[in-house]
Formats: sequence, C-alpha cells, structure tokens
Amino acid sequence: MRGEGELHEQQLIERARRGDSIAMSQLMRDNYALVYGYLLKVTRDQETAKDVTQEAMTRSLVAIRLFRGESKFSSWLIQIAYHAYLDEREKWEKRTVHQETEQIASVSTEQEAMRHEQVDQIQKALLEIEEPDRSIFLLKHEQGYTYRELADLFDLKEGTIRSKLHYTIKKIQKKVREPDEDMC
Amino acid sequence: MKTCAEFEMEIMHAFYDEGEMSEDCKSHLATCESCQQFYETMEVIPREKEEIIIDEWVIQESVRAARFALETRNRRERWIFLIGTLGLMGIGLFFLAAGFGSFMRNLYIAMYLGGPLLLPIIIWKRQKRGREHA
Repeated sequence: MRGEGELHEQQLIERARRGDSIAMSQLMRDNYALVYGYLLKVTRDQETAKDVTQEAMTRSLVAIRLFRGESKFSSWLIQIAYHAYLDEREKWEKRTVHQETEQIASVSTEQEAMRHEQVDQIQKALLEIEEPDRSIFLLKHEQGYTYRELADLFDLKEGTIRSKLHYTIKKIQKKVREPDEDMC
Repeated sequence: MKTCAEFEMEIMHAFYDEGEMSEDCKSHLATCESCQQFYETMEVIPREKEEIIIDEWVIQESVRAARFALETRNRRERWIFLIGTLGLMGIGLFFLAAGFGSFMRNLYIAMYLGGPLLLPIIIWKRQKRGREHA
C-alpha cells in the first residue's frame, strides 16, 4: 500500500514526464534539501554545491522518462547528484575555498571549544576520504539510508558497503584521536 | 572468539539500527578501550541535518535548462524522423520507378512481419538503459 506522499510524488513524476513545468519545479523543491544537503557535505562549498545541485536536477529532469520507479525517486536523484559531483569535481577542485561551516570565535566554554575542535577534525578527516566511501558514509550517517539502499545506489554488495563504512569510521577515529599526527 | 573488528561491525550495525548488539558484544564493549573509542567516534560525528533554505533560482534554472534540453532533443528527433521517412520513401519510389516493384512489395511484407519480432529486444534494451539510470 502506497502512502499519500508517495502517491503525490508518483503523480508529480507522471506530470513531469509529460513536460509540466509546475510539476517539475515541485518535484525538485521536494527533494532540494536532500540533494543540496548531500552535496554541501561532500563539496564543503555552498556555491559549488548549488552549481552541482542545479546540474543534477537538470540531468534528472531530462532523463525522467527513464525513471522506472524500481527505486525511490530520491535515491535515483542522489545517484545522479553523485555522478554530477564526480564529473564536476575536477573543474572546481582548483578553486575550492575551504569554508569553515562552524565559527568557533564565539564559543563560551572550554567544553564547547573542544567539541568544535573535534567537529573540525571530523570535517578534515572526511575531506581526506575518497569517493564513494565519503558519500556512502554521509548518506548512512546523516540521511539514514539502509545498507540495502546504499548497495543499490552504488551498485555494490551489502558486505562491501559495511566494510567501507567501518573503514571510514576507523579513519575518522584515527584522525580525531591523533589530530596532530599529520602535522609532524 | 571474535576480533575487535568483528565487534566493531556489530556495534556499527546496532548504532545504525541495522541489527542487535549481542550480550558478548555488550560485555566486550564495557571492557575494550579501542571499541569504546570506535563507538564514541560514531556518537561524536554530528548527525543533525543543517537547516536548508530552498533556493528558488536554482530550481527555476534547472527546470528552464531541462525544458530547453528536452525541446532541443525533441526537435532533433522530429528532424531525424522526417528526414529518415522522406529518405526511405525516396529510395522506395526510386526502386519502384527502376522496375523493382515486386522486390519492394516482398521487402515491405518481410519488414511488417519481421519488425514485431524485434520488439522484445527493443523493450529489453530500454529497460536495461532505465536500470543504468535508476
């Protein structure tokens, strides 16, 4: 039995396939936070994330007639976003500005400062992790994708997804525990 | 006896609600510093989603670019169809005028009868392409 939201989404997809601009906009609006949120995490740059979001959305709308509904529309969109990100990476890599998302200037307590430092270390560790491991980790940890969904999304076995996640967490753990190691 | 890596896997599954933590694992976690650090690392990584404001400009530009690409593709497909159809008709008429009428008739009969046999292959190819995109 399909939920009301899913039915609504299905109707929007059908209308978007027929070229309805309003349905296209609504469909993209519904998934904007997911796609942009994911791309913001992997790129760490707002402008780049917006550019890739736009590219991914355009690609998905052009290819929407090929979407057969075998996976969730959001998963399909994330897959397109991931490929758009890989394609665009080389172009923007040189001009990436490492923006710190969290300002630690206004921290009031020592505990808070330590937490900010830890978050900072995690962000740095994440930047060092190769794709698709980073995307797998972010989609699992923040978006709550299941192992099965991730396996379908990245065309890998569930066991491989688990190993990759474990490896990523270990790498972050190492970075958090030994933050000064790479400074030597 | 399980290794720390195996326990860490179990801890990870439990953390992500993809499995239960066994009693063995719980007692190991209570005593193993390395596994405790692994668990703490997962806990310390922020999970909260950032507040995202929808950028209407991005959406409108995506829709506009997609519509433009679709219209261009449709126009191109229409031209290919038109040129292809006229070309085939021209070839047919040429052969007819050159005295190959019965050959043309037989060719068309073969095409009409044999064409539908290609349908399963066309459907299979389209599904395959859809799976690659999905």
